[in-house]
Amino acid sequence: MDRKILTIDDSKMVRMIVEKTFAPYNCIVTAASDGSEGVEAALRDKPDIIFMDITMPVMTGLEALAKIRQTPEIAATPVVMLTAESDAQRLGAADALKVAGYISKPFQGDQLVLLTHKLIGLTRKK
Amino acid sequence: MSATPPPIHQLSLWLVSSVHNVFDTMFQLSTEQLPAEEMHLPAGETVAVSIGFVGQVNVEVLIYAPSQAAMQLASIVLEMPAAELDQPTVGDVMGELGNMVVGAVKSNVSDLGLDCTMTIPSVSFVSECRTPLHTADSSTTLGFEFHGGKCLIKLVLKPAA
Repeated sequence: MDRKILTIDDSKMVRMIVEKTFAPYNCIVTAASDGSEGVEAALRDKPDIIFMDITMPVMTGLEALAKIRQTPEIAATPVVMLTAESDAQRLGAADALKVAGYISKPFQGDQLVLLTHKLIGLTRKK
Repeated sequence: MSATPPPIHQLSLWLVSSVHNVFDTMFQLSTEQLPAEEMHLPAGETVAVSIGFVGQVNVEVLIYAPSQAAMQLASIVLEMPAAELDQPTVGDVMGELGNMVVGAVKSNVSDLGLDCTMTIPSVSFVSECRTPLHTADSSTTLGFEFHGGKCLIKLVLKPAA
């Protein structure tokens, strides 16, 4: 069964890397470019996992994460923060919102695959 | 009582370490730091990125790279031929490079107990780089070379608002 992955990042580069990283796997990757669009996409697509940046225009990643946790249909979705900000204050704020994991930027695609496999399981395309 | 803001020298050390790490991890390129005053960017179109963080410490970082070098970086990280890359995509890659480089510096500052918020990168394409290359109590300019490409990074420590 295809896993649904949502990447929420204002950088096209990061969204493209996430899409390319999961291309060899049985996944459908969708993307949003800010927190507000991301919450809408999560409600529409019901992803199995979300990768989310913190610093974004319109709605930050932490605001979007709080919104997701308050929305019953998507509240339990694992959210991984993919962020250049790895200080204790930011990570603590995300922890309080039951974040499933962190990956610090700069990152490599293998890190995304390993964590995704651990959290929701992944299979390679034949 | 708040912690003391780090001096420009310390910020500069964190920035250098972050540049090496970002180029190595995202672009698989090694970088060499060179004296900025000995480094001249080639004439022609230059990508300029402005990014920083504000709060108990205010820092602005300006990154200048020739368009050709920026295109080379975008081509590597996106695994696309340079000819297929448009200007907004190259600008996005340079903005995200700035975000990653400065994010590590900001995280070090925040871990000292100083509350700061990252700014969104602003990217522009200018006809040539015109940045004064001096080091002072409140600013320094660093030069980097990577796989034939070059960039200049100016770090400015601004007074608290």
